[in-house]
Amino acid sequence: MNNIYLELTKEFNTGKTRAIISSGQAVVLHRLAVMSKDGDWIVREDSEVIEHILSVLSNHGARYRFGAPFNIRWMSGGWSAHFEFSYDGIRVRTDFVTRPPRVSDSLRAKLWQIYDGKDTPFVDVKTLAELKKTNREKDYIVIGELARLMIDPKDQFLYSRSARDLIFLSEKYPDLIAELGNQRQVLKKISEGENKLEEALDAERRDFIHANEKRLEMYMKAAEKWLSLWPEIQKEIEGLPLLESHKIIVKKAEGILPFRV
Amino acid sequence: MNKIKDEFLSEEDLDLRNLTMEELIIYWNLWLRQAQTTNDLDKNIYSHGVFMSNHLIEKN
Repeated sequence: MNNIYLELTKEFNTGKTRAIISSGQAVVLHRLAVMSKDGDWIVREDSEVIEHILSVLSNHGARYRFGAPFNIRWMSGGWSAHFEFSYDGIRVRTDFVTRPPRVSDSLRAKLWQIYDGKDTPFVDVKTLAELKKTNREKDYIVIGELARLMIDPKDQFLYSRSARDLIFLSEKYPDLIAELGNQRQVLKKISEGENKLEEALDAERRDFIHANEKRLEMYMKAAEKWLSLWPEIQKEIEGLPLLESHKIIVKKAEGILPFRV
Repeated sequence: MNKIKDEFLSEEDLDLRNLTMEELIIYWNLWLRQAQTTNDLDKNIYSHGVFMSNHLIEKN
């Protein structure tokens, strides 16, 4: 018995760790909830890695969805590439980034050290909590639970979404509030009581949501011309093997979709 | 009496912790299969990456 996202991850990582399960399917592997149909991976930014993953996807009969070409020049600019295929009656969507949002270059480099040699790696709770600072309300519910899985009280302070949990933590580790208050402004509201702290948590969540919306708007604006050409490109690649359509997409995107946003 | 705790996910969701890996995969696969009923509704939606909003796609 296996699962398509685990099988794919093993195939991506044959002989070398190339892809780390991220987002929704990582939430499942942390045993929190099943809440996403699609697979999302952080991929090592390397041409061999991308070629290998494209070849695995091609063997599954995958096709490109609208998105950036799966090519280092775009991926290193923070773009994402998207594919889809059918597997045993299930629509499988595979989404890839090499530069996940809110993950620093040093942490990204560390991830590849930590997961080296593993065939089904999935992101740790802290990185997952950063990735989940999206523009969707439901992701903050996940962050709330992820914070409860964190072992270091400092991390719990930095990621908790519960006023009650934060007050409890502050009673247990009073010195940490002063230490972490500049990293997370919300912590300064703990002394003002549960209601004020809840208001601050709500405002913080909205700030994260708006920050992510702003980031996505920049990419969507940069992709407008590419999008206008997509229906025509889609017709041209229809029925072609993935590796062939990939070549066409890369060529078409040059000069249309900027590498950097 | 236990103090009230802020709740994020349901007990049913969190019960995944008590499943063996094999049971988790069975439940996960079943969930994915059931979720196929919404494929038409989310065909233009992106769950991850920088194309999360579908409004540009819908223009076409």
